[in-house]
Amino acid sequence: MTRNKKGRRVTIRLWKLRFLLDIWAEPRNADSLPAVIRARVRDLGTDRERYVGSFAEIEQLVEDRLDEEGIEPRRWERP
Amino acid sequence: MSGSGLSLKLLGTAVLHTAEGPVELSPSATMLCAYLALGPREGRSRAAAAAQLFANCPDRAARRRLNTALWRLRTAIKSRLGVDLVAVGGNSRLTLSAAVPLVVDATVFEALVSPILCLRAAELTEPQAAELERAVLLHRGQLLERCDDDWVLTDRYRIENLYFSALDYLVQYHGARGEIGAVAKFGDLALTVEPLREDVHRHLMNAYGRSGRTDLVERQFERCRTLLLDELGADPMPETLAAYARLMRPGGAGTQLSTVAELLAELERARRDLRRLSDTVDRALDRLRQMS
Repeated sequence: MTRNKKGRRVTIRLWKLRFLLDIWAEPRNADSLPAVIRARVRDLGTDRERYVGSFAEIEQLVEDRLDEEGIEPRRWERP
Repeated sequence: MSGSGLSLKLLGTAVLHTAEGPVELSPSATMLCAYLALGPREGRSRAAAAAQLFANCPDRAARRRLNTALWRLRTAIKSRLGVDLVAVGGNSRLTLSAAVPLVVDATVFEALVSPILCLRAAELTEPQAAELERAVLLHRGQLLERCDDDWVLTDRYRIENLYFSALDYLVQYHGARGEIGAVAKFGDLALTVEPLREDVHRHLMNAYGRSGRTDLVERQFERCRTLLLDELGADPMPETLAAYARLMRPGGAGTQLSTVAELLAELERARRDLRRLSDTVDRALDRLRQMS
């Protein structure tokens, strides 16, 4: 909540959320084994950092932040 | 640093130094100096500089703020060294003047580390390890650590990857020589950057195992296991479990598990050991119950 020029309280909705996503493949001892993909998501709005092991978890983090910001109703461009 | 030269520290908090000491610059003038130092030799256009350095401002305000930052940077250096640090070229391109010697810590760091990391860690010689250690000392923090603007991120992540790899190489180098103190020091630094990287945990466990320090192997494995559980809700990978099982066995250090068959054999062996232990505990419990 902030105030406009007339001193009235107004709610400013965040128009943009920003996340830094580090994705890495854990090196394996044997070449025939698949790389294990892990990621770290840093929310630049709150500076919170979380580790994730799937895209579903990343999506959930983004959805949670959108909920926190009260951005609803909403839909992704290509659901 | 030469008498008339400048030193720009970009790893950690950005500071510009002359031979006499740090130059007091406004945050935007410092960022402009860093932006030009990290840019291509031919410089950057004014329009791009305004848009990237002041991305949250409207165009006109961004251009005005760029001009102010530019004026402040030039004035501060001119008053100290009597030279113009910034050259304005054709098409309004801004570049740092080649006439002013400037040493940038991030550039020195990359020049030291990059050629050595083309080798395998096992091939590292003593002078190369010393070069890596020198480079690691230059890394006082992430590139422009308080700035998360887009123009910083690519360079930052490239440098962080180099820094992390340099630390991992040093863990392996000192581990092969039984230098446990150095292993712990560089290992801790590496895990501060990437706490979940299991290969580094394994390199540390191997180094400790090679020196006969099963207590440190145990501690490292537990650190890895609990971190993975807390942060990801995941178990360590099979090779980490197998490395732990092998290192805790008498005479297990020094051999590499590099095929799936070797991993399977090691884990099967660990399971048999656990079963034997479980049977022994069961028998002890039975005896105690019979006595009570």
